Amino acid sequence: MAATTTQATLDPITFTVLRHRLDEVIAEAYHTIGRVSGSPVVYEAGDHQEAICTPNGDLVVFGAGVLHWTQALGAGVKHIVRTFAETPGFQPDDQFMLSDHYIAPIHGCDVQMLAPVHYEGEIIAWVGSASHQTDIGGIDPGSLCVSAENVFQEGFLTPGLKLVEGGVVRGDVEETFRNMVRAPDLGVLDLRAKVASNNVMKERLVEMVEKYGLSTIRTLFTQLMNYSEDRIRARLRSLPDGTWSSTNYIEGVKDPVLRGKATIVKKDDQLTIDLTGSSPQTMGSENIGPVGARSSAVNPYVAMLCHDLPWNEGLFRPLEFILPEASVVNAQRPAAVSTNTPAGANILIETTAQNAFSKMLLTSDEYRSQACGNLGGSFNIFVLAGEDREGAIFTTLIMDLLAGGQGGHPERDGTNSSANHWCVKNMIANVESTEMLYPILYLWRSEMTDSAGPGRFRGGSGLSDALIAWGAESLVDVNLGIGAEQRGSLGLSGGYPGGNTPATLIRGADVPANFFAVGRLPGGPADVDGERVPVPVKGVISFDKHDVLMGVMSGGGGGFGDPIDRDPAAVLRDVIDGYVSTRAARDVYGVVLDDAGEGVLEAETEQLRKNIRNDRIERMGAL
Amino acid sequence: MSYVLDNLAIEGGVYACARCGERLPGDGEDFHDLSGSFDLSLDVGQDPSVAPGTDRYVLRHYACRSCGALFDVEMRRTEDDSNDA
Repeated sequence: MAATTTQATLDPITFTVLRHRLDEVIAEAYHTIGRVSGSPVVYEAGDHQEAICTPNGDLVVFGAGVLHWTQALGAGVKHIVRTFAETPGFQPDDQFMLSDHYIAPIHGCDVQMLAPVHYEGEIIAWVGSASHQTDIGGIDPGSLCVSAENVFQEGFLTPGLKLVEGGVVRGDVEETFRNMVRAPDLGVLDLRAKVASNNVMKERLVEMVEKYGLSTIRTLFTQLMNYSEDRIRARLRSLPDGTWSSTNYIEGVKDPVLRGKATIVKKDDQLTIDLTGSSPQTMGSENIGPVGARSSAVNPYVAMLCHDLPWNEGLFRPLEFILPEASVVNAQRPAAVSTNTPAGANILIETTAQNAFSKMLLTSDEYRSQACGNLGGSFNIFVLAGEDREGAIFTTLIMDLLAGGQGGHPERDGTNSSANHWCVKNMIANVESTEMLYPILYLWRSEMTDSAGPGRFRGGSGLSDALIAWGAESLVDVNLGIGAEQRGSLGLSGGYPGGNTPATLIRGADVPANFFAVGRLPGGPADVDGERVPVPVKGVISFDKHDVLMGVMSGGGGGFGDPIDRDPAAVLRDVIDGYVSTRAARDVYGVVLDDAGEGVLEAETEQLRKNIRNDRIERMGAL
Repeated sequence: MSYVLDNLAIEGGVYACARCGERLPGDGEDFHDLSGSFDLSLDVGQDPSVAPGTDRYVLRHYACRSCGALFDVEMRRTEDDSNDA
């Protein structure tokens, strides 16, 4: 059903000018939050999102921040409007804080600030900003609570609290928050960064109303959502009807395996995203609530099908969701949910939905090039905590997972160590920033040989990190990983998944004494001696200044197509560049190199590939 | 002929290998039920230092029985039988 209505519309020029102006308002808010926050997770890694909504919470525009928070911001506004209109009510320059992950944010750390926009005494819009707070309390440092078994252990969870009243930050509320979190100064600054971001959006919206008139802006909001809806429905109609599904797995804290399944059913201009087949909810904290599940599922939809359309509520009107109750993808309160992002149900939903959408796009000549293998399905996040060089408690996240290998595409390789699926404008934090702020020293951050999923077009390479405590006697790592046992970045169309992503502690390596004291630096894992202890994929481990914490932080992307169809010259180039080993070149790609590793032996390669095909036929048995 | 996957095409509701043209036997909506399949270790192609050596998962390969062209590869828990569409 098309959104076309008989309502008044703006002329094309005014419409185009004003919709791009809204984009600029969002962009200014994006930069504002980054300028005010003191957290590298926000100002460097880009772990935030901004949106403008109608008075009832429909998304008019959202930004290029964290894509899986888009529906969550709209849901947050709807909840505040529905719940608090009478008391405490909405006055000009109020702002509400919302962190309850069963209501809107995917998990509690992604605290939302939501503000009504008044004009001449009337609410004409809401604006919202969300960012990942480095700590909101709870049982584990960093508040990604691998130890939690229920929401009561997951920190400061408010369903709505007026932090700003009439433009003034309420001291009682702010001090209560400060009292319940680790690293309170940074936490309060992050809240105020969102207040500032919202203030920018409010001011710019009022300026637009004063210049163009309220009626014009209201028409713009409606027309913009209808514009996107009409275009995405037309796009969906151009695709073949069908059903596509995908299954993936992660390690759980309480369950060794959690399964996610997404089935996409496309009929005419409607899409149903069905998560039936996913695991029952777990006693661990990998669960996700219904808003988070929907918001996660639309992430690949927006990125792959809607990237060139205005981003707003209209894109979501063709969507229906089936979320099995009491499952890991639609948990019942009070199940713990704080690690669903980045290492729980959120990843199950996004990787499987992305894979299923890719299969759908492969059936279309026009959109085939948008299909790709997974990225970001395997990784580690080190949530580090302890005392900093001044003796104050700190906590921070090493989010180098954001530089994952992209999935291979039908016409090109995935880019190396470049991207994550949920953070459009992300960067990885500058090593120097991290080392300056926290008692940490990087030994290396480097791309990994054979981390990319093999394929006719391979995935991009992932990253490996190693770091030590530097200026602290010891630190705690709350490890959040996926992929120590399975390979979570799925391949496509015969491509292999990206590689495993284990983490290891090397006890007693004493890098300062064994390397720095003699003017050397360790070049890689093989250089460092010591007792190798596996870091729990999800768990807490302590280490001291003599140890090395090492992990594959971002897995390689999934490959596309049969690896033995890859151009042998491309395999040779990968070997020379260090992305593929000679062993994998031979065993997986069927490419035989000369002894120097500088040329392809063509006849031997042709014979090896023939042998691989014959081996496959033999394994499958006779026709 | 419209391509479904890199090495798999469908025409008139019948799947065929895009490399050699061999038609998959029988009919059905899901090619996984019609093509040949075999399992390999999840460690295939990995650096030994990161490969977990697990037997909980396999890489399930779906391929042409005639020419060995690969249609699809799925990571599958060994106790899960179902395919993805």
